[in-house]
Parts: sequence; structure tokens; C-alpha cells
Amino acid sequence: MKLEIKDLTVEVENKIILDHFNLEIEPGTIHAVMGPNGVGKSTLSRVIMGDSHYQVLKGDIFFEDESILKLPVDERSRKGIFLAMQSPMEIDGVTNQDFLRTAISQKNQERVGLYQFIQDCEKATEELKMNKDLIHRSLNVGFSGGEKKKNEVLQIKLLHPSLIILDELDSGLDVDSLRIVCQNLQDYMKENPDTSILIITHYRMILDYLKPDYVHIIANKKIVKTGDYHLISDVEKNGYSKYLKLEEDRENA
Amino acid sequence: MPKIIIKNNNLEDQENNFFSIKNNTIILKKSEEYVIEYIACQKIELEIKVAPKVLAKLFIISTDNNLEVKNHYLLDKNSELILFKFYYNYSTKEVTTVDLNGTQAFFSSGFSSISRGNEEYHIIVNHNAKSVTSKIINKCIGLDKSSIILDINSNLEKGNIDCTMDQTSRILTLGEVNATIIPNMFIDENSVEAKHGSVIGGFQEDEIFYLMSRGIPYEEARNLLIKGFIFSNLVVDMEKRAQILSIIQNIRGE
Ligand SMILES: Nc1ncnc2c1ncn2[C@@H]1O[C@H](COP(=O)(O)OP(=O)(O)OP(=O)(O)O)[C@@H](O)[C@H]1O
Ligand SMILES: [Mg+2]
Repeated sequence: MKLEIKDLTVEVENKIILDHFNLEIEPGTIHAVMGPNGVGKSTLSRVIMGDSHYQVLKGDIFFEDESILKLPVDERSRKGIFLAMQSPMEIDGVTNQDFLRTAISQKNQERVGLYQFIQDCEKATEELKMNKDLIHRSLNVGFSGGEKKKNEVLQIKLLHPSLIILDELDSGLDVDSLRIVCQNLQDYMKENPDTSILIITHYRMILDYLKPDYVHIIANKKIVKTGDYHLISDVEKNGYSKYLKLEEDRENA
Repeated sequence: MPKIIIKNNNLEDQENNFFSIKNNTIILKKSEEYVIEYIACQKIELEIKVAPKVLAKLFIISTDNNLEVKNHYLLDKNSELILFKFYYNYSTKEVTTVDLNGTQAFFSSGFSSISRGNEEYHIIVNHNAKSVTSKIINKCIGLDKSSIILDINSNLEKGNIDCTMDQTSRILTLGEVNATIIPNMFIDENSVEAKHGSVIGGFQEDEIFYLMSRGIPYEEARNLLIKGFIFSNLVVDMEKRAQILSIIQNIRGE
């Protein structure tokens, strides 16, 4: 689905992280965002989701042509926005099953039957080659790094979002798991062609699988370069210093 | 599952294959899952003994009481007591004394509570023999304007080597709560494994954010966390789970 970020300025703890930031994502497209550590990529993802730690000082975010800035986090989610987090929360005592069933019921606005739920879960965990026991354990508690990331993708498969933000989904996944997870996401895109994906990553491999239509580089609080697939090789070879310097020069001028 | 009901502070003497009761002393004779429920009680004073080599599980539940308790647990050699306890009282003042009297005795306690009024718990665990173990986990939810004191004392004298003790307490505050945890370990022996931890505080914002980011409204997210907090410390059957769930569903705070 369509997402539009217009002239957005975001502050956290009295520090401006994104400034006059613009990004437009059309339905059915895949965008990748890259950039050095601490530049504001996760901030971008959390501000779209509605994390109240991050204050929007200026600008707006539109989802399906409607401003979502005033909507609470849960409502944004039910509208179809999903954020697979860089470090998914561990919540002791809340079983994965209880959590998933509650989330699905809220999304569908009716309590999902236990039988249906188990069937959907089994199918999805199988497709992800995920250990079934993880469904019965406390949410993410004691999960390995890769298991946590697979659990995020399991939620995508069960909650059917239309805008998927992947914040470093690839960190923590071994090469085989990454391939399986990406295969699942590709299948999902085929079944739901209007879905858009925003991939935040430091590495090429996930992009080789998911083939983004656009690659953006964030430096100095905004997108400084947008290109296609080929931009990745350039970043891989030359790093970000060129983009950081470019911005410095522009500011000094 | 042998069940002992104490109604109006009264416990009648009785004797069967599983337990015997005489003058408020309960002896657990078989390795079984026992239940004790306090109904309309104000004052309870029990001595609970676990016979040698018996591995007993005990679940104690008390709801809607203004309760004063003085319970004394005694464990013999190679005996084991796994205690789970859930309270939802108007007020509670409780003194629990545990005497681990025989080698290899093992005592674990998972206590979950929801406090509406004044709650005061004093727990004294005496490690009186070699190689005994105590593991105590308290998880209390304080509703608005309640007060909770958890005072936990583990004692170990010289010579009782190879003991293990662990006390962990967490108070989840929902609103203005006067919460105090006093963890004490009086240890006079080097050969010991001792652990303790205490946390007082409200919900973690990151946990709420994570749940809400999956479409779960705030109230529902909060209920999930409360449920998780209480049940992460109790292993109970479906019937008791349902009983406790119906209480959780009705509480509102903050
Ligand atoms: N909740 C917060 N409180 C204080 N500072 C924050 C908070 N969240 C982010 N920041 C700061 O904002 C800046 C951007 O952080 P962010 O996590 O968005 O970076 P990132 O681009 O995702 O980095 P990485 O590639 O390392 O994941 C950093 O300087 C970070 O320390
Ligand atoms: Mg990040």
C-alpha cells in the first residue's frame, strides 16, 4: 500500500534525527534503505509505527492518502503497517500463542477459533522451517537471534500487513534461514501484489533475494541518494564517506 | 487431587491415605498434588510437614479475605515441597517460616498476588542441614493506593555446606503503590550458592509498544502483561487457571 512521508522532522531526547525527510512508497514496490550506524534508520521505522519516544516536529506521514500521525500504534498496525523490529522484545509469561491469537483476533475484529489458529500456525511454521515448540514458549524469551527474526516473519504471515518494514531482519539469520525467510516474503508478495516493503539493512544478501525497486541512502538526517539495485555495489565498494562528505560540503556552501 | 478447605478459620481433624490433620498440623504423607483453600478466613495458623522422601506439590489459594496467616513448613530428609500460592485479598499479613531440617530437603515457592489494600509478608527460611535448597519467587501486583511489604530472610549457619538459596521478588505497580522489598541473607558458611534479586516498577513501555505494534489495543496489551506476570510464577491446572483468570479480567487500575 501507499506510504508518503512529507517534509518530516523528528526529534528524540532533544536531538533532531531526521530533518525535512521525504520518501514515497507506491503500492507493490520494494524499497531499501541503507546508511551508517546511528543515522536514523530505526528511528524512521519506529516513527512510522508511532513510537511515542520520537517526536514529530514537522511534516506528515500518509498511509493510503490519510495522515496517520494522530493514530495510536495499535490502530496503525490494524490498518496494515507491520514493523519487524531490529531487536524484538522478550516478554516473560506471555505465551507466543496467546500473543498471536490476541493479535489476529484484534486484526480480524473477531475471536479466531482455536482450531483455525492451530492450523494456520502449523502451516506457517512449517513454511518457515521453524521449531513448532516456539509457539508454546514465552514470547521471544530464550529464543536465539534467528528464531526471534523468524517469529517476526511468522507474525507477518498470520497478520497479513500491506506495508512491511524490515529493520535489519537479516541480522541474526544464518544463510539458510535468510534464504527461507526471503522465499516466504517473496511468496507473500506474489499472493498480495499490492503490499509494499521497506527494507533497512547493512548487507547485500537480503537485497539479492528481495530485489528492491529503489535503494536509498540516508546520511545527515535525510535521503541523500536514490538509485536502483546498482547503488548497492557502489556502497559495498566505497562505503558511505562520499555521501557524508557530499552533505558536509553542501552545508558549508 | 487431595483438597483441604479451611472455612471460617476452622480446620477439622481428619486422617486419610494422603494426609493427616491434628490440631492444625497437616502432615503430607504421599507424593501428590495438594490444594488448600482459605474461605471466609481471618486467622490461619498451620504447621505443614512433609514426610521424609515425599515429593509434595501444594497450591494455596485465598481470595476476598482480610487475612492473617502464620504458617510453618517443616521438611525432612530428602523431602520436597513445591508450593504455588495465589492471593487476591482485601488485606494480608503473613508470616511464613520454613525449616529445612533434613539433608537434601528442597523447598520452592512461587507466589503471585494482586493487592488491593495493605499487604505484609515476612518469609523466614532456615537452612538447618547440609545440601538443602530453597527457591523463592514472589510476583506481586499492586493496584492503585495499595501497599506491599516483602521481607525475606534466608538463614544459614556454619557447617551446613552445599546449600542453594535463591530469592527473587518483583512488584508490578499499577498506579500509586507503596512498595518495599527487603531481601536479607544471613550466611555464615562459604560453601553455598546464593542468589537474590528485586525489582519494583510499572509496565515497561517497550513491551507495551511491541504488543500494540501488532494491533493489540492498550487495555488488552496491559491484560496480557498482567496475565503473563501472574502465570509465569504459577503452574496450575485448567480449573484453577480459569478461576484466577476471571479475577484478572475484572481488575482495573492505574
Ligand atoms: N529512544 C532513544 N533515546 C535516545 N536516543 C535515541 C533513541 N533512539 C534513537 N536514538 C539516537 O538516535 C540516533 C539514530 O538511531 P537509530 O537507532 O535510528 O540509528 P540506525 O540508523 O538504526 O543505526 P543502526 O544501523 O546502528 O541500527 C542515534 O544517535 C541514537 O543514539
Ligand atoms: Mg537500527
